[in-house]
Amino acid sequence: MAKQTMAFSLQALRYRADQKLYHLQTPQSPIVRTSAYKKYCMDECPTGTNAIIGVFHHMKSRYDMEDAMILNKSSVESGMFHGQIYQTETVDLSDQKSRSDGSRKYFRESNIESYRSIDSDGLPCVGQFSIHTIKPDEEYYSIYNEVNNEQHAVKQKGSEDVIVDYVTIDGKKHLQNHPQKHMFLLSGFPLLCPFCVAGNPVIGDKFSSRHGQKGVCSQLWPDIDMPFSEVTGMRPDLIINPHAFPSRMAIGMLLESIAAKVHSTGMVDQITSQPIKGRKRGGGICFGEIERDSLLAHGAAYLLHNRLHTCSDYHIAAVCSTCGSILTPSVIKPEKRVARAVKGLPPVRAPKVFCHASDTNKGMETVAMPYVFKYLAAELAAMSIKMTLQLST
Amino acid sequence: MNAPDRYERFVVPEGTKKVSYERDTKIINAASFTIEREDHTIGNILRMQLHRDENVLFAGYKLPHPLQYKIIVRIHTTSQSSPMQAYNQAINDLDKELDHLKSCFEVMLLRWQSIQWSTNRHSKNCKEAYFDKRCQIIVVCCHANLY
Amino acid sequence: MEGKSYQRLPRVKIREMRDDYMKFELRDTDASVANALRRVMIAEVPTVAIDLVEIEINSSVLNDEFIAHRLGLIPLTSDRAMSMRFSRDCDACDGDGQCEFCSVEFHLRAKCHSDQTLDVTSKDLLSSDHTVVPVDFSDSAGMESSEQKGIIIVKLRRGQELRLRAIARKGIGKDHAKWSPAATVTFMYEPDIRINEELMDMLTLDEKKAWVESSPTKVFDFDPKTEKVVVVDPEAYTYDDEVIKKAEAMGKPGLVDVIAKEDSFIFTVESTGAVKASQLLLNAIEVLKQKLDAVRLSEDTVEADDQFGELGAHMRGG
Repeated sequence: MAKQTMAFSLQALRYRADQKLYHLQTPQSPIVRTSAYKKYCMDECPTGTNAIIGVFHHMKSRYDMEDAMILNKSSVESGMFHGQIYQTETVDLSDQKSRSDGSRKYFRESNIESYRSIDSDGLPCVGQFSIHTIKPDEEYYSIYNEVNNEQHAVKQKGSEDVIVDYVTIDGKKHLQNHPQKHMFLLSGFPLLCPFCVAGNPVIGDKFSSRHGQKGVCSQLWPDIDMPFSEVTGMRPDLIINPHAFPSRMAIGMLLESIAAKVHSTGMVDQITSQPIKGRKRGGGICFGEIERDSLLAHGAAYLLHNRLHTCSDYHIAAVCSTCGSILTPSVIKPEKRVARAVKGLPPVRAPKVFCHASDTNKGMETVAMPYVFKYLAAELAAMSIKMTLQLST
Repeated sequence: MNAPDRYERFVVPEGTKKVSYERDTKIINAASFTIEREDHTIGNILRMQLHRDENVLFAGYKLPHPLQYKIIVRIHTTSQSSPMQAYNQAINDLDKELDHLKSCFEVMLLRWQSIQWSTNRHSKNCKEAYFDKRCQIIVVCCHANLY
Repeated sequence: MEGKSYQRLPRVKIREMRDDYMKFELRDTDASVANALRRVMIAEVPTVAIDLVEIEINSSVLNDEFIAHRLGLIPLTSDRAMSMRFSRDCDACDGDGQCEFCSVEFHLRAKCHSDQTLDVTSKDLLSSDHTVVPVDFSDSAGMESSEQKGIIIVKLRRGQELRLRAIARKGIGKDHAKWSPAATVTFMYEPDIRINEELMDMLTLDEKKAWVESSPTKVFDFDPKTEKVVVVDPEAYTYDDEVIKKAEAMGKPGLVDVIAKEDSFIFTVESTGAVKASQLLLNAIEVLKQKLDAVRLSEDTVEADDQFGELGAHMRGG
């Protein structure tokens, strides 16, 4: 629980160098707890915060369909659900040395170009310099090669803005590699730069109760537009849809799924060319097995086809009607226009498809199919299983 | 990442008019006012004030989208008035109402303070009793202003 | 073009008032005005809050961002805020936010030298302007002035140090919640509760007591001397309908009639301390007036329409 969520999973944050660590800024002890909570000393490492929740259909906003939820903008600004993500970046110049020419490398500020996030020692500036964080693809440390007198700055690889928490020498690793050397200069030493990424709530973040009732934040709603208690003036911190409570078979839920129809314009997987999963990589909301079953139960076959095929990995493949294979037909790349002109051939019209197995370009049919089907055929071929298609009109 | 800047909620972009007026092309005496960077605060008081005007046949407002920081007020009046006249009248009336509310509250505030001081008089020294007297005089003056 | 006026004359009555708390009645107006006042008090009355923090040394257990955020949330006395400039509109400093018209500078230096934990509080923030200082809560009731030390920013152990410079700027709650001067502003319709005495007399003593008990808040009371049910606190009623349901369950529908008076409101205003609760209402009225003034039609719009109007009349006439 503490590992998966934004929680307070450890107390010696300063002296740790975890690969990735989610850290909740203001954890709280839950108002309602089980006896085991005390037994396991959960208060030492709390796993969440208490919040005022409104359960109603916030019709005005139209932002609470599916399992979406609305957060109170003012609550978030006052620190609710704030946190940091710590990542550790290790730079080992001795590694780079052994791989190449054996030259010595140092961290040194470039004397050709100055970078905003690189300090005078060639290492990243600690903290935010002015109001600038280290952007993705921004140079954050520079290396000087003693032998060939080369300098180069290394870019940040992540996809989010980061702030360097501190820079330190990885003493343990250093001692293993160079037991006889003392620390002098910053050459060849493995370095640790714990990064800190602001993990404050943004649209698209997922929030969950302790019972797995989860939702995705769809809006940061202004406090003044929230409903309020007449007597105490209390406003909800977050609003969830009552539809999240009854059985998932609710017809209203299904209708909302259709309303929530997300157009397939997102990123796709490299191999299957299907939409990818996960918000971080730019993916969408999953239309999974349960959703498929409920659509089948309602006989909404066309919608299902649209969701799982047209909006997913729609692909037109050429099938050879002679051998029935979808793998052997391939598009013959027409020669470049210049090459054709030299040979005195007319310019290309349509690319031709040629089946290598049947050694012909006749009887090629185009068939619409999910791209994974072609992938499946390729996987089966790798196991020496031939898949043939029989075409009929 | 692509979230609008915080100030977008209330800073009218350069080159944009705060209020733009568009006459209805089909209905006479109907028009919509697009007010930039305003929300329910202005929209609702204008609408309710317009409803009090007997020449107004229809008055409503909408927030087209939560990320578009503007409201559209639509007014339809009888031939006795015009949307623009009704709109201006509503603003004037609300302005006067708030003026009245303010002076009324100021009077009440002074009255409250004078009561507080007079109840505390026994425990306080003469200097504050003097303030108390002066305060009551101010109360009387304000009353004169008010009515 | 001067039309008939539909202006109302609202009345106000203060019920309770302290520096940071006020309860008042607002009558003879409608919910739109009441709600507009609530919304303006929460989100549009300007205050001053720390907006930029330059951390020189921070060896505390909290990271820089956390401390900067905490500093931002500290209420600062903002009586001057109404007349201050927004730093983005400031001509004197081009919006860099470091001049007397739009910003206030703060310094904080704290280091723990002892084995005891040192609390760094809002009292350690040194202001460059005596009118803008962290709100002092020591005179509020229930706290001894000697033990009240301000809002804790961070706790330091031996050897830990915090040194920073902060710039406070004017802003509104709509921009960020830290600029909101109101902890809570809420209003309720004043309830008008009437007991049907005829039906009530038909109830037995136990039934009367049970009915009084059915309300989750203490609205009604049973007077043992007169053996009557009386309304003791109509405003404690939360429109929960419990007593109405109870009356129906007892077979006496219409035993009580509750009407929300649509033109009377009871306001509760709690201030963060940035401005006094009474001043908060006055500022809200002023801000709302300014907002109304800003949405007046500009001259050129009126002119353009007049021409269009003539043309339209001409076309209609022709």
